[in-house]
Amino acid sequence: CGFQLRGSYQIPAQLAQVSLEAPARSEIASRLRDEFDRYDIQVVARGQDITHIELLEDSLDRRVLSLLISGQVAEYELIYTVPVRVHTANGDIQLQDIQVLRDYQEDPNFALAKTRELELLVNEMRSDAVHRIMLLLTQLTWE
Amino acid sequence: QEPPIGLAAQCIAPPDWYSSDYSAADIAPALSLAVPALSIQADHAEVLWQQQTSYSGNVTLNYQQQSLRTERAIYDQQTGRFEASGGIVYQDPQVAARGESVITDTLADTAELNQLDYYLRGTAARGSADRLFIAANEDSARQLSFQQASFTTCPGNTPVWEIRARQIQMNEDEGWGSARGAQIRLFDVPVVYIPRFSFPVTDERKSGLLYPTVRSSGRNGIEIEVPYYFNLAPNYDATIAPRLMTERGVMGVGEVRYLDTEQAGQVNLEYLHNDSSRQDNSARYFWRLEHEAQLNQNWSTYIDASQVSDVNYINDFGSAFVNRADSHLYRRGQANYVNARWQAQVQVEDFQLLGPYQNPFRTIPRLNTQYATETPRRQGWVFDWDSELTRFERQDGSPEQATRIHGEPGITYMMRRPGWEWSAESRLLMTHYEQELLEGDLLTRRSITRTLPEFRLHGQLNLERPFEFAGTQGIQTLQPQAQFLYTPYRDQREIGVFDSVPLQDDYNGLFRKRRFSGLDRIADAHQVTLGATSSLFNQSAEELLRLSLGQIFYFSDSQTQLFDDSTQVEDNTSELAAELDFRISSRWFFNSSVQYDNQLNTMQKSRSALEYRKDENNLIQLNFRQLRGLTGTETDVEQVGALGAWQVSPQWSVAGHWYRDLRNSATLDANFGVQYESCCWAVRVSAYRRIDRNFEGIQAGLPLSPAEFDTGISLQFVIAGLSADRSGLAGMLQQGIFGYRRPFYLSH
Amino acid sequence: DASRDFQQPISIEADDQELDIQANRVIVRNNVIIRQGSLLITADRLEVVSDGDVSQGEGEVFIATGSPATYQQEVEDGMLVEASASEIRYDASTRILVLQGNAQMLQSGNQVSANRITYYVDEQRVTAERDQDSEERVRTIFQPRQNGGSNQGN
Repeated sequence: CGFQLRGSYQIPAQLAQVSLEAPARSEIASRLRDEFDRYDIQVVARGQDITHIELLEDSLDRRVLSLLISGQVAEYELIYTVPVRVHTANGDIQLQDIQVLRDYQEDPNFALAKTRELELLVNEMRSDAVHRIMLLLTQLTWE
Repeated sequence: QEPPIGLAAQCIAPPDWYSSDYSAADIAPALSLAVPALSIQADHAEVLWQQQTSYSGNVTLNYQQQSLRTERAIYDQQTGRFEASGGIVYQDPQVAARGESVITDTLADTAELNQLDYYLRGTAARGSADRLFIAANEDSARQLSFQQASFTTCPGNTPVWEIRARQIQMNEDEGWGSARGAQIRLFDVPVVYIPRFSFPVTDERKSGLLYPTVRSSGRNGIEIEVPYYFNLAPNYDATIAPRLMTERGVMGVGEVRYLDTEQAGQVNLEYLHNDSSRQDNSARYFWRLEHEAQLNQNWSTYIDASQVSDVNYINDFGSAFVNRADSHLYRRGQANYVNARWQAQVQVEDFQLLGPYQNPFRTIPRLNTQYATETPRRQGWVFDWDSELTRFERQDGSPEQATRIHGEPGITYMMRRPGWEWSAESRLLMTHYEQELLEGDLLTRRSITRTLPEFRLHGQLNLERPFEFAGTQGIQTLQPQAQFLYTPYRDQREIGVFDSVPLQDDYNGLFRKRRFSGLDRIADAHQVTLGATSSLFNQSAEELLRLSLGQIFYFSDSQTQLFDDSTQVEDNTSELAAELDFRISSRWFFNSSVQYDNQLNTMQKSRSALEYRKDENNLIQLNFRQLRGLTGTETDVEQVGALGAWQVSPQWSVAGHWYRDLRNSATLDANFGVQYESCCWAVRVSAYRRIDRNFEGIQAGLPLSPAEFDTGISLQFVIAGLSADRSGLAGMLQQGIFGYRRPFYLSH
Repeated sequence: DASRDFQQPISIEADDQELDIQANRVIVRNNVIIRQGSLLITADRLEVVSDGDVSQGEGEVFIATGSPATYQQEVEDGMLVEASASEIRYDASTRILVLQGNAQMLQSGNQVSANRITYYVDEQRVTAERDQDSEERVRTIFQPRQNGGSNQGN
């Protein structure tokens, strides 16, 4: 049916070398560095006509998705957002909010266990966000 | 999001005498003088060296970004004072004024104008005053103080609203102004007298407390909230906003914020001495402390604690920090340690329940560490070690408590290539409990050790092919995944349940190693998970569609259970989980996710949403949610919802949402609002119906009766026009339980 | 101060000189320098007109022109007044200086410039006007910090 294995990582030339700026000790930044490593993308110091990626402070929001007739929450939605500002080599600057959504069911009788589930989901959402950032970078530097 | 050009443009209408060609830059650089130079021009000048110089005829003064125009003036070199009378026009970067006379003291950098009309540049704010005193404070930001002044942002001679005050003060770099002895006049009729209040002058919005607002609601009656802002120091401010509620009384609301390089924090307090709507007239309060500090390169600390006086507080008064429907307040204090390979965290966690729920365990303390070697680029070994030491304690003073120590070394071999990747992982989970739990009413002490291995094999292919659809060229990707998981069975029924609960098995859950959260239940597993994700990308590499599909095939039952066998797994496949995200066009979006049980042919869980989105202020969305057996209970959820916002014209906009519970055929939350926004004021009228739950005095564990509803009309009057942007609509969408977002702290 | 200068003898130097006795006029040309105590005028051309006896120095009027002609005098101890204009007319008897043609006066950092400036030396008073026909207005520039601060003196 025409599918074949992806030959190379098909990274646009502009992404061969990038510079990365992020808040100190940012978990998502270290995961993004691993992902760059995986795609043979070299992280170098910021310089002339080198694509510069700025990760801003990531944040987690929560919103109610569905309620029970008693007024108790049935499902929450977690909204993980990491704003990314990309300075492409030809000088234009794009700021985009990478957003990953997850819903999870509320269980008011197990507050501590639900907190652990929330931490687990945030961990998974960060990996998802890293893939989304890669998609954004390829899209912005696509010739 | 650009404000609607029409409305903002006509609102900011500077007065006729205002000339925008003000430029103060013409003197100093030309003379490149170190000391700020004062340049005065006129048709005629008479200079007495070292004494006075008198000017007449079209006199203009320029000094430190201040410029003045008048007919007659005198400058005294000794005192550095420039006095002009007989009509002056004054301009500086912040304010433009036309007045009777002015005295500028070039040494003290002050200016005093009399009998003036003024206009704040770049905003719609203007007014008149008997006297305006301008002084530059230490960091040369100008401080304006008006005496016997009026202030409005409405165009026209009889402004819709106007503030008249004995004194109004504004600081150039502070987003707030404050008025003393103020009187608010509507259509030139004095309406309310307020001794002191503050109002935003520029558009740096402070979250939460904004303008003096007037609201009405069924439960609290008419509400008037008047914020008063204290800028105590550059990095330290406080806001007090008494909140008058006709049904309940006057509540004091206060917030203190501080921000330094190493630490930042915020303290909030809301206190109502006696709530007249309650028989016992009891006091109602909410306090909250949030503090974050960076001790050094590796250590940081964080505290987030809050408390309410009673379980209905948030439901009755709402909060900027807690959603009305939340079931508990999560409180914690923690210290984080991070370095290249090590991460550690010590924390204390506690809950305040906002309903009749089972009393949770608190962790006093919880210490966990994570260590992992560098992930190799192409292939190689990764060694990691997670460990945790936690002491649990019941919150309701019951004697139940437990100490758990857990170590989890893991070794993984992985290989990665552009077209495929696989990894083999094996871990050893060693856990020891010293627990004292009530069995019946007998406190039994147990010491339990559980050790079990875990093996996981995961592989993935990355396939691609060009695709062509309706004239657009693009690429389709297909990523099939397979995972084999084996964990032997251990009887864990004697271990207490402290932080474990069944995890949701949607598409993301298929490839997880664990069926339960936390560590108290490590489910046995002998299964293979198969799944695939396919995406369509157009030529500019934008993802138009993403479809994921997956299912788990069980080779044997999973006998680990939480409390009873309902959490065991007996059938030979999991539900089929699928997720679809489809960008139909630049404005139409559809997404859906389903979990289908192909043994029972039933839809266990499904959600879908169709959205038309022009921009943040113009969108319509229809959504549907259906869920069978919420968190292992028998309750089902079937809910349909619609939300929308539409900017009908620069002035008129409508917004609303409506959520209906199909199973109990009841409207859970609905709001329909119309907003009229003119230059200087906006009014929002909305009809609402929202859940009004009352959990006070209900025993834990009993089934909850259906909640009552609070329906009514809410009117909100907002002073606007102080800033260029118009955020009205987004605010309307956020109201109501479903719109509200509660921000969480991410430690690193 | 300024008045002391006027008891001093006036000395005039120039490359060449022309005497016109009948009209009681002396014309001096090419890097003309006039000195009287701390007063110093430089110009390209100087015309000295006197209604009395030129050599006795009664009632003389000095008309110095140059591009520009310059004037300098010590007003108080250390306080120098400098000026320049295309024509400087100095009347020794009334002790009034008239500067004409993009005239400028500078005094301890403060500056006056206009089309026409009149300087009453005895009263230390200066008036400046804008000519009807010319666009150029009177401009004065002061340095408040320096003035206000430094000269407690006089």
